[in-house]
Amino acid sequence: MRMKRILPPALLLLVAGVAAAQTVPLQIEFGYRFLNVSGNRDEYRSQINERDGILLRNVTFATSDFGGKTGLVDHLRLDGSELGAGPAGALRLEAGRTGIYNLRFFYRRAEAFSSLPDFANPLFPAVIPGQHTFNRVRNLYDAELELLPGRIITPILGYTRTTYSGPGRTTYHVGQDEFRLSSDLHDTDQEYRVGAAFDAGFISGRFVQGWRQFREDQGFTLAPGEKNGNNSGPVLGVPVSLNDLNRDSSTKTDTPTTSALVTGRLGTRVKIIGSYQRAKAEADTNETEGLSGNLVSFELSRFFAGLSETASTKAKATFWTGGGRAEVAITDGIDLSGGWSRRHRWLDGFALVQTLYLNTVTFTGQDPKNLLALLEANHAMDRTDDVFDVALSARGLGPLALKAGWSQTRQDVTVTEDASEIVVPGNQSGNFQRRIDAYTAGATYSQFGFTLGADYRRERANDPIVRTDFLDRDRYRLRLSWSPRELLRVSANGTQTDSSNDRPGIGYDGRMREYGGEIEIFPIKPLTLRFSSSKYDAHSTIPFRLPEDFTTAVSEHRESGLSLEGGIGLALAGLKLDGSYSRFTNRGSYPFTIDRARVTGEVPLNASLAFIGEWLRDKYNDAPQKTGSIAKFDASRYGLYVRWNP
Amino acid sequence: MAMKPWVLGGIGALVLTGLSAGPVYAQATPPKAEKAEAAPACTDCHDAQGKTLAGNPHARIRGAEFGKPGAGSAACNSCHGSGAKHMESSGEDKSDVRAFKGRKGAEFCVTCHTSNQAHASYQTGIHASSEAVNCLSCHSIHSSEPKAAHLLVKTPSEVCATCHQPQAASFRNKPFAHRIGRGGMECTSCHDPHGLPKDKGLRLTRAGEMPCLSCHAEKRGPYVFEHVTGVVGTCTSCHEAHGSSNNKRLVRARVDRLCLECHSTLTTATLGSQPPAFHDVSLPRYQNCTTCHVAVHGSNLSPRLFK
Repeated sequence: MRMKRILPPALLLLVAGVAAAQTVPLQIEFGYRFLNVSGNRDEYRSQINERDGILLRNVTFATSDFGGKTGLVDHLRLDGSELGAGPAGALRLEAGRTGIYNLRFFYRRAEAFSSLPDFANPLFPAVIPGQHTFNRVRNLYDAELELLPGRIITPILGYTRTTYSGPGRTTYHVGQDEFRLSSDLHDTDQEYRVGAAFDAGFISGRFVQGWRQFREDQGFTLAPGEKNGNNSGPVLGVPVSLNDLNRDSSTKTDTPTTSALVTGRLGTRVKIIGSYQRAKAEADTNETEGLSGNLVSFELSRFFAGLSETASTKAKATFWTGGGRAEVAITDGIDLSGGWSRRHRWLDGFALVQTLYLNTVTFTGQDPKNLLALLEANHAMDRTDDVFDVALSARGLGPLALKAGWSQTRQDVTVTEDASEIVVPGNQSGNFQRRIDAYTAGATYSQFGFTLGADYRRERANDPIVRTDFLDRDRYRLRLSWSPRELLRVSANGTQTDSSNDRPGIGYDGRMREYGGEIEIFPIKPLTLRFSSSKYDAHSTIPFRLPEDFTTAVSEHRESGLSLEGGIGLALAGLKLDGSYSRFTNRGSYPFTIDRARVTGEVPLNASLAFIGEWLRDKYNDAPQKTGSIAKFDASRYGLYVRWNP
Repeated sequence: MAMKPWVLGGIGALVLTGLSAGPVYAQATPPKAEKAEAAPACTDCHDAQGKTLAGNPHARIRGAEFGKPGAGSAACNSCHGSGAKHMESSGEDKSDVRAFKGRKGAEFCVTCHTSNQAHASYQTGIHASSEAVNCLSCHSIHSSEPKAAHLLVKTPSEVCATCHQPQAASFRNKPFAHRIGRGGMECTSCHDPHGLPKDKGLRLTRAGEMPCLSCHAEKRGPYVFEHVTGVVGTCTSCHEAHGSSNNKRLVRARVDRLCLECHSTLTTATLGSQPPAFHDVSLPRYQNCTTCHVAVHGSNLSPRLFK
């Protein structure tokens, strides 16, 4: 929080100070944003989450002119955006001295908020979106230093740190009921890197060795007022309740990573590329949990008054991907490329969980005692994907360009059976294989400001691994644009994807269509008019078995969206104005409408100073469900900013 | 995990090796700073480009310090050729001025910009399929949109939306989507515009994983009990990264339908097709599978993903 408050004014002072000393390209936009929300504020925060407050909307500072005093730095670029009143902001710095070093630094802060209007709420039977909520912040820092850029060998040092923390709510199924828990999460992910790039003319590449550390600490407690759980009725005549719960878990994952890339030229027409990446992770988790209440266990056939649990687990995974490819310039403008790549992941997991059930009695109230349950689990899987591909592209055929390709993907998955899993036997383990052949073809015609492109992709698989895997998939894409002189720009495109799996017992069928068009008109120099429309239709069906009575039902998902948008831009000497309005209507499985208005006005006071006013309005309304709309809001943000270009 | 002495030694060796090695400029077609007359200068006519080039990386092109005394038009000539005939003809003759059109234009850019992974495979890359798209479709060699790094002609999301309108519309029109164009999140955060066409040009992590894990490191695992993410699918088996009507960005509006489409006994030869349980999903209590199976991304504690 302190960093977030200090950063925008500190940046302003720093950049302004440097800029005042010399004439350099600099642009700063800062000001204040006001917020007005009516309706469901949690839904607004889950979708948009822009708050009121001071905002450094943009800062850009770039120079390679240091007044002839080139010292440690001879080029510098600083970009910042949306720093201050959230929900996301970023800062990027690139600096260096030519031939000596390049330094890149990136920082991003993102607030993740999700709060939903129900908790498996029987009042809203149409759609139950979820009940897990969080209000967390993710900070990402990434720095990379290249030494001696342009030399044969360029050493590289890097460091990345990501933190993710904050409170949340989750649920826990225990004792034949579900209880809402408060959680507090602290994650830190760090990676140190060292390596080198090399460039010897005919061969170049990069090798980087990294060490990744992930640490997670999370605590859970029973949320206030949630002791009665989700199930309002008694279980076997006993009102189930939870009096208290405390759970702490910590995870440590260490992962050495390796990445290497080599490109080489054989003569002037052949290029060879090889790549290899590997990550070997070892994760250790320790957990303790204690709870008390009136609870039921069907596994033990007993009531119990609490439990004390400790768990120690270890998971090891090795992942690597590598491959090689060759690109051959057969003749000027005709290229042939082909390659092979493999992705392999191997996992071995072990868990030991000791659960002591306290004060248990049988369902008839007999035989009181504590019971210790041990879960010793071993789980393993092995997955290999091989991909072979070859492609031919012909460009430079006048205005025409053609391409065609084929690829084959072979998947091989083995999952070991784990005796600890209490499931109906079958299909939790075994060996599964799948082969997918994909054929692609495309053409582009480009002349006199007119471009027409068409692509087709055909995929055929021999077997599914999971039910929703396709056996047949076809994708068609058409794209055109036309820019006659500087008066008009027209573009349109459409995509259709058909997927199906006609195996007995599956019967999956899906179609997705996206098409839209955009026109920009420049009737006179200061005026721009924009219109766009897009349509999005998706429909999929797949039969499934209802678990409660084993009858067959069809899962159907539908999206039917229509977007209409219009905008105007006016750039006069004393006023710049840009406004747009859009409406999106979705009549699919979860119907809703979104209305958006955007107006930005800019009044330049002199060559280096301008006032900017902004109005953003978002109106969301999930169209009435069975019991009416549950999450509509109308949010306006008003911003007053100053742009300074010294 | 502390950095070991041999690592520090390796770093030192690399630095020394680099220091001792001379510069390497030998490319397939090196863009040497072709000499031109000191006067007149290109910027005598092209003053707009001259003004913006001062803060541009191309002003520092090898051996051509733009704006420095004696440097003349060497920076311009490095990319555009000598332009001697062009100057002599007062701009009429453009035969010796290199224009960056189509594939040829891209190939000249890559004579310098080839030594990193991003451009390693530009010839067959995702955006190298026609004469209509080349480096200058997205980048300017003189100046850029002030708010955009990497000399982009517009902000990154605007550049991509020029052609990829349905994808841009999806981010705008779906209530739950990544905040593209705001606060450092761009299309290029997940997609590599210079990459190969396969896998939708996804920008994998440095260890070759899905780009989602660059930010969502807590979902990376490994877990003792992994779900679909670690077995046969990817994040996009269940999530729609470009925007969804579901607030967890699921590919289905209802979470129970998403689960039951795979976990159904109608099929017997596919992974995970046993019944989830004898739950009565007509009751709201059971319609949200993740009320109980909270650890859907994987668990270290519960085979049934309860925590």
